[in-house]
Amino acid sequence: MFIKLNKKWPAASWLLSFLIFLPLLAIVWQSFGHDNDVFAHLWRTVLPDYLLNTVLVVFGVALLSMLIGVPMAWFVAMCHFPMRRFFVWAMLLPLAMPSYVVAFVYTDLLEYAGPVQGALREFFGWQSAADYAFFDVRTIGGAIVMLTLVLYPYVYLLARTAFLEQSQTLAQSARMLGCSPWQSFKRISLPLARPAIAVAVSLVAMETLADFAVVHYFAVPTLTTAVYDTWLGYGSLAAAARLSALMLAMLFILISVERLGRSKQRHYQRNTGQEAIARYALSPAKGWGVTLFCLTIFSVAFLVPFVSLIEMAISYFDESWNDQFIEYSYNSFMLASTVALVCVFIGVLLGYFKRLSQGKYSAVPAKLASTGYALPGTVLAIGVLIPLSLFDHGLNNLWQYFGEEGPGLILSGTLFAMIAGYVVRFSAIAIGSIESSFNKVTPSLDMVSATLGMSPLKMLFKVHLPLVRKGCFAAALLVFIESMKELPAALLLRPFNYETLATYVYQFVSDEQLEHGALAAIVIVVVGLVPLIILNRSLEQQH
Amino acid sequence: MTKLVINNLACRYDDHVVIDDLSLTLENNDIIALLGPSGCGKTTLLRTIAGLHAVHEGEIHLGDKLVSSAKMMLESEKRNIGMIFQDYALFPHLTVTQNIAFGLTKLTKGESEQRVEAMLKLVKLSDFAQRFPHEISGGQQQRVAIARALAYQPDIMLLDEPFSNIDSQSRGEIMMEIRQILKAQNVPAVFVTHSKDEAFAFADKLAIFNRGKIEQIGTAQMLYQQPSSAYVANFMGKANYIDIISVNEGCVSTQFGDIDVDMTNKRTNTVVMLRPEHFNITPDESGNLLIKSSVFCGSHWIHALEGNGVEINSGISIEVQSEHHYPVDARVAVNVIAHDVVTF
Repeated sequence: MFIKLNKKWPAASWLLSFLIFLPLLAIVWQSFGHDNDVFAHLWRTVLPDYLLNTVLVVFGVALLSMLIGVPMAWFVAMCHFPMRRFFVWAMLLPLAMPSYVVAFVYTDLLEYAGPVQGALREFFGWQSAADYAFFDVRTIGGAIVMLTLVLYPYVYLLARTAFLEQSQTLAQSARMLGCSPWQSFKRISLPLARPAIAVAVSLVAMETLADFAVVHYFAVPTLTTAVYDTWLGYGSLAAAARLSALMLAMLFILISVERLGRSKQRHYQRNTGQEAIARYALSPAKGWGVTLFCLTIFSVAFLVPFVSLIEMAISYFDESWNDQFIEYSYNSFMLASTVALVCVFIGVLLGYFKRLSQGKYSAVPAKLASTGYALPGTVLAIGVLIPLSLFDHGLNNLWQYFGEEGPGLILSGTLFAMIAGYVVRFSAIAIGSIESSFNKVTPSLDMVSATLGMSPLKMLFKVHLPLVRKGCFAAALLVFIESMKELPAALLLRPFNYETLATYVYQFVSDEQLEHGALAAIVIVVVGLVPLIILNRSLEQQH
Repeated sequence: MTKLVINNLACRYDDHVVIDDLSLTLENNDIIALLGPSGCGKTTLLRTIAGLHAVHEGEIHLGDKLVSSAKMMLESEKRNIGMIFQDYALFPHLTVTQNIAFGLTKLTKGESEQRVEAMLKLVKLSDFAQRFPHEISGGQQQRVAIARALAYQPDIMLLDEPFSNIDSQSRGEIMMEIRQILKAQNVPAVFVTHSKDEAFAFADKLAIFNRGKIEQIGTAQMLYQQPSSAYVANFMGKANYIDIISVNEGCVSTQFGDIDVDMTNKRTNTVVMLRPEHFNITPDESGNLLIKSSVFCGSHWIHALEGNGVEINSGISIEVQSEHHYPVDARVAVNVIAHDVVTF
C-alpha cells in the first residue's frame, strides 16, 4: 500500500506485540534459570506420574470426544431423524458449562450420600457401601468423562461443518461408482472430514491440557496442577517455568497437528454451496435410536447440570444473593470490560498497521500478539509473573540502594497483573475478529480516501472504524465473555482478597458447597451462552 | 439398440413441477445434448436418470431394465452409470490413479492396475498418475473424471455442464478430445449444457428444453433450419419474424415483398421466420430500409436495419448478415434468398 503511516504507529505496534509475546519468552528464559533443585526433586518423585496422568487425560478426552462428536455430527449433518433441528444447536450448549460445575454436580449426584446411590440402596435393600460396587467419580476416568462432556462440542461443531461443506457431488460420484451410502461415508466423507476432526481433536487436547479446575477438584495431579502447586507451594518460579516449558512442548505438537489439518482442509472442503443437502432417510427405529443418543448426551452434558444449578440457586437464593455476590459480579464485570476495551484497542492498532504497512514483516506483530491464546491459563500466569516480579524486585532493590523503603509489589501483586494476563491470553480473539473485518473492507476505499486527501489517522476514524464497528463489537463481546469465565489465570494472578465470579464459584466447588455459589455459576453459564447463540446464527446463515 | 428410454416422465421438487410429461429415447452410441436455459429442468432430468432424484410419474429404462418409476427407484450404485459433474467431483484425498481405480473394487489388483493404466493412456495423463487433483489443471481434472467414469465401464455416460469451468481457449479442443474418447469406447452419453455452441460441437442430437418439456429433438442442422417453434428458433440463433399480410398460392406477401413458401396445412400461421443470412443487401439510394448499426464479426458483418417509414413501417427492424460493410444511415434494399422457409 502506498499510504504511509506516522512512525509512531509501527513503533507502537511492534512494542505492544513484543510485550504480549514477552511471557512466552520469559518462560523459556526462566526455565534455564536456577530453581534450587525443585524441578529435579519433582522429577525424581512425582513428576513421572503427573506426566502420565496428563497424557492419559488428554488422550482419553480426545478419544472420547471423537467417539461422541463425529457420529453425532454426521447424523445431524447428513440424516433425517426426529428432533434433528433442535439438536443442531442444542448439542453446542455444553460448551457454556464450566467444567468444574459439571464435575461438582456429578460428584454430588453420584457420591455415597447422593440421590442416585441412595435410590439404588433403597430399591435393592442394600445397607452399606460394602453391599455393592459403585464407581467413584473423583478419579482419572471421571475427570476424562467430565472434560469430554464440556469439550466434545468442538469436535461436533467442526466435524459437522466439514460434513456440510463437503461437495455433494463427491458422495454422489462415489455412489455412481458403485458405493453404498455406508461405503461412501467410509471411503469419502470420513477421510475428507479427517483434517477438520484433527483440528477439533487437537483443540480439545489443548483445552484439556490447559484444564486446571477439574483435575484439581478431583485430586488428579497433572502438569497444570503441578505448575500451580510449585508456584503457590514451593514459591519456585523457575521450577514452575520448567513445568510450563514442558507443557509448551506438548502444546507445540498439538498445534502442529492443528496446522497440518488446517492446511489440508483447504483442498478438502470447497463446496460451492449451490446445492441443497440430500439427507439420508433413516428407518424409524434407527432414527429414534439416534434421537435417544443425542438426547442422552444433551441431558448428561447440559440439562442435568443446568437444572441442578437452577434448583440449588432457588433453594439457596437468600444465602446466595448477598453483598459478596454483587461485589464479585461487579469485579468480574469491570475486569472483563477493561480487558475487552484494551484488547479491542490492540486489535485495531495491529490490524490497521498490518493493513497499511508495506513491509515484508508487517504481519508479524499480529501473529506475535496472538500466541497467548494457545497458552494454558496457569502457564500464562507464570509467564506474566516472571517479567512483572522482575520489574518489581528491580524497582525495590533500586529504592533500597538509595536507602529508602521500597514501594512493594506495584505490578505483580495487583490488578495490573491480572489485566495484563487476561490481555495476553485474549488479545488473539480481538485481533482475529478485527482483522477479518478489516479484510472485508475493499482496498480501493483506502486508495480513494488517500486521493481525496485524507491522512491515515483521519481515514481510520472516518472510513475504517465505521466499517469494522461490528467486528470490534463482536471482538469486545467475545473477550468479555472469555474473561468472565477464565479461572486458572485468575487464581494465580489475583491480588490478595480479590475474587471474580469464576474464582468465587470455584471456591465453593472445592469446598463442596456449590449451593451457595449456584447463582454465580448460572451467571457464568448464561454469559457463556451468548457467543453460542451468535455462532449458531452465523452457521445457520451459511447453511 | 436402445440404450435409454424415458416415458411420460414427471418430476417435482415439493410442489414445483420441474419435469412434465417428458419422453426421450437414446439409441446406439449417440451423444444427446439437453439444451436449455438454466432452471428448465435439464439437470433434474440428468439426476433422475442417475437415480439421484425421485420420479413422480412415468418410467425410465436403462437398456431393457426398468430403473425408475413412481413406485420404485433402483439405487444409483446399481445402475452402472458414469457421471461427470460440473465440478468434476474428484476425490481430493486420492491421487489421480486412486481416483480412477475407485470404482474397480470387484477386479483383482492386477486387472485394476491394467485398467487404470489403459485409462491413463487414453486420457493422456500417464505422467500425472501420482498427482493429487489440486496439483493438476482444470482440463486435466476433467480428463481424470472421464477416465474414472470410463474405467467403471458404464452403460451410459451422463455429463452435467462439464465444460463450463474450462476457459474458452481450450474448451473446443477438450470437447473434441472427449467426444472422440466416448466414440472410441462406444459409450452413449447424455450431456447437459446451456450453450448451443457446446451442443453443436459435442453432441450428435440436441433436445431443446422448455419448462420441463422437450420442445424439439433432432440434429443441430435440423433444429436450426426447421425449428418447430419460435422458442427453438430463437435458442438456435438470431431470427427475424416478419408478419404475413396475405397468403397466396405458393407464396406469402409481406412488407418485404412476396416470399416463396408452401402454406398448405399452415394457413393459420402469421409470421415468417428468417435468419440474418437469408437476406441479400443491395445499396439503393431509394431503398426502403436504413442501416442503424453495423457490427464486424470476422467473416461477415451484422447490420441492424429499420424500415424507412414509407414502404416498411419505421417500427420494423431486422438483423441482416452481409459480407460487405454498409455505413450507418445508408439506404439499402433487401431481398430474401430462396430456401425452405419456416413460418409459425
